[in-house]
Amino acid sequence: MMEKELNGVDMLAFVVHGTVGIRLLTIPRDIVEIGSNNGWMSVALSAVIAFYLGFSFYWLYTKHPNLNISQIIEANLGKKIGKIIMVAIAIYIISTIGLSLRAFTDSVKMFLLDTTPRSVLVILGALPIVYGVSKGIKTLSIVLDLLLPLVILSTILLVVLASTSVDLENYRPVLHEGLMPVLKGSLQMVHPLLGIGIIGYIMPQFNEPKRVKKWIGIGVLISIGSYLAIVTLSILVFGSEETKMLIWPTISLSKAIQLETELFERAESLFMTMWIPIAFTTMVTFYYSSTLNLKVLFDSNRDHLITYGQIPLFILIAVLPNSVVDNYKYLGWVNLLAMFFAFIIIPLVIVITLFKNRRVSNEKT
Amino acid sequence: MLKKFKQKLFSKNINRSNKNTENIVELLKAFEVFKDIDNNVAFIQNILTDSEDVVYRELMLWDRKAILIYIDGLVDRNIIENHIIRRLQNFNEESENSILTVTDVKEKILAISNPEIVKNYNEIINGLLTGESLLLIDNEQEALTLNSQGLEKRGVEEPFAEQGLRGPRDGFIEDIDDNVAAIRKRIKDTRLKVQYHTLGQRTQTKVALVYLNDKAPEHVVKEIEKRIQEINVDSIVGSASVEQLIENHKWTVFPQVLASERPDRIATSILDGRVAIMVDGTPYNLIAPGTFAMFFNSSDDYYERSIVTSIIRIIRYMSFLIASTLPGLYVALTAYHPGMLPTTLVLFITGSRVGLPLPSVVEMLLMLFTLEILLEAAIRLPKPISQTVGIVGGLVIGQSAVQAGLVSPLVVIIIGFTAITSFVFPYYTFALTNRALRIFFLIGGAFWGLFGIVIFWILLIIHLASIESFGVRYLEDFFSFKKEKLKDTFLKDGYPSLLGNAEAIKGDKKE
Repeated sequence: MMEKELNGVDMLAFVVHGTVGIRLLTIPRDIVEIGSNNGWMSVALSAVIAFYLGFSFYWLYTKHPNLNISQIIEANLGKKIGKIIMVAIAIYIISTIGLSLRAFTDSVKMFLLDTTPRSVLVILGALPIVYGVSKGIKTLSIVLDLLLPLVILSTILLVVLASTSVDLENYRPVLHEGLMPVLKGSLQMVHPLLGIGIIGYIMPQFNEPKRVKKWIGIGVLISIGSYLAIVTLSILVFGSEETKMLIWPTISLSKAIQLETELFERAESLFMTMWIPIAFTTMVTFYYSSTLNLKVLFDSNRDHLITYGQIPLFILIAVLPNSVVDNYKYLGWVNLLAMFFAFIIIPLVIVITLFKNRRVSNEKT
Repeated sequence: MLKKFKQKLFSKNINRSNKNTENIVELLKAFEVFKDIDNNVAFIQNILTDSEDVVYRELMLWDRKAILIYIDGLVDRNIIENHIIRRLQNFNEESENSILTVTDVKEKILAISNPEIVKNYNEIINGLLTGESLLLIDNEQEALTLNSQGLEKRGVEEPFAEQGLRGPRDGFIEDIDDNVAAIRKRIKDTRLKVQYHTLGQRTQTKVALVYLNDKAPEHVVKEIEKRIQEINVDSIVGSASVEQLIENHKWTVFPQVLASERPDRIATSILDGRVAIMVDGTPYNLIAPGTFAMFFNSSDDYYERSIVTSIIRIIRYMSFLIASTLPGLYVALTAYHPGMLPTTLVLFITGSRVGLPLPSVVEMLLMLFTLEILLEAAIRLPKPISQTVGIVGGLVIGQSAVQAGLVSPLVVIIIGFTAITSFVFPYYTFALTNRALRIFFLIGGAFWGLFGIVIFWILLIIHLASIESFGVRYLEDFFSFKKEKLKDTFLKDGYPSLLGNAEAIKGDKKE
């Protein structure tokens, strides 16, 4: 059996990094397109989805100690259906890594290195992800813990600096299209929030699983807080109509920073630099989940083969889309897959677990 | 028998390999003291052949022949003359007719602390080589080794490379017994354990593990002990050989064991629960496990006020960032992202680069290379000349390179600043680490700008997080957000709630 190396508090970094990633750069537009200037309510509402997802994974683990989510699915839905779902999970995770890597390199190309070939950026971006996963969960946990303050600080810095250009008129009119767009908007958050699924894969590594619960809650609050701050600020600074036109609203937000003194020009490049580690941490958690999922799928313990075998797949996916628009189209499809997992598979597993538990307790009595 | 031994001994090339050294040890172990004293002398002469510094002093003990053997230079002549030879001669005059045994000589005659009765030739030869003298008596199948070491030692002086302002002035010397005593003097606790090991087949170097057995985690002590016992080499010269033989990761620029020449530093680390590895023949003793934060803490930090120390520590961490990244950052900003700099600064940089023949990366590499040469030259040269190197390097090369239009003045400023920031680290080994990192980030910045630098930093953090030293993570102090662990990192908590960082070395494993 694997050695349990993680402490309860380490879960905080996994939850925040798993959910706050490269999508933070684009989410204001995705949400505002549906929820217009009430998009911030969609984000607030998505907290419910985040808590539901986070605690579902936690609860499933308490019912199946020492099993990760792929093993739990297999145990509940049988080997055949289990494997099919694992294939779907593999497609979902690997394409998420690939498309995120693409979105990431697109933004790097746009703001930092406009003439460097995309393939070089993709490979360079993939390097730390592969290196991180190859070093094991304890190392990953240390790296994520170290980078957590960066996520929080850069969000706070952006909020504080950009709040100089806020126009409070932009958040009106409130709920002029009713509640439906707000609800629909919150579904856009399912994809980033499903990053919380890392819980399902790392729970068996914690030495005191009960302590994890508190940190899942705090982690969800931090990530929802970050999304809420960024979306609200985009709406307040640009207004919903302008936000819809922006490819990277969050980076444009840093462009809006106005300072009295001329400390640095082009703040967006600076913020882009700060987002690099954030993008990395999310992709690395996905990659780790993917490795564990594939191990269960192939009933294999060949770490190196499975870890390195995925590299060509997500690099291929990363160079596949023809343009930024294409990439968003594919990300939309992945979002559908995310919703399928969040609202069909996970409830199904929960119901079957409940059913099985009841049967066991009935048999006992 | 002797012939047979000689044949065995010289039939193989004993000067070459480790394996042959082992053979000699095995052979010596097989022989014991002979009854006839002449055989014993011949045997030793055969082994220590062509060694003219070995002294064979013949004596008479009443009517029996005795011989005292020692290596000149390794022994204290005062002990040999006054406490051994004179005592033996006086005994002859005072007593009448007596049959002396080795035990009698040990118990009644010699005025020497802990003489030992030995039979085996391996012990005898080892004793002679470490400065003990050997007394053989005719018709006795035992011999006596006498503690007569008297090597010249350096007196206790102020540490050379680890200077402090308010701390004690004494440093370690080259003698392991004195060094262990310096620790004992500071920690008068029955739980302080000292374990000796002998390493190196040829050098027979004495190595001591010193730790507090109630504080040092058992898994750490066991791991260090295991590694030390596994060492099987020909020679151990200085503590660096031990360091490299026991560390986990050989292919990293980061030191995993801290070498210090300050007894107070080693003592506080032992009090934290770390293990000191002391090696004979060097003033640099080791502390394991080493963690990243340790290399930023100087011993002076514990003698100054917490707030001031914390500020200085933050400066050291910032210096680490600057010293490793600044040259790369300059190249990245000027070559890829000039738009990020304020317009006036960009204009200044562009203005200063007008007419320069080399691209900024080459300029930076050239100046870094010059800096490394200057640093190396300043260390190797005798003190009075090394100051001249500073003048020649700093003033002549720096200024004239700018005036000649070879490098931009800003590059000289950046190199100067980088050099100064890399001098703030309390341990020279870590400053060397930083010099290696500088080149790494310069490459990142030169090829991929800020993106390259950030990616390289992430790679570096992953690498640091993955290093493990004796079951303790290198970044042990920084993860899991534990207040106790952070108390002695970039901030220092007040005394006496803290004495070093006892929390950090507990490591992953529960005791």
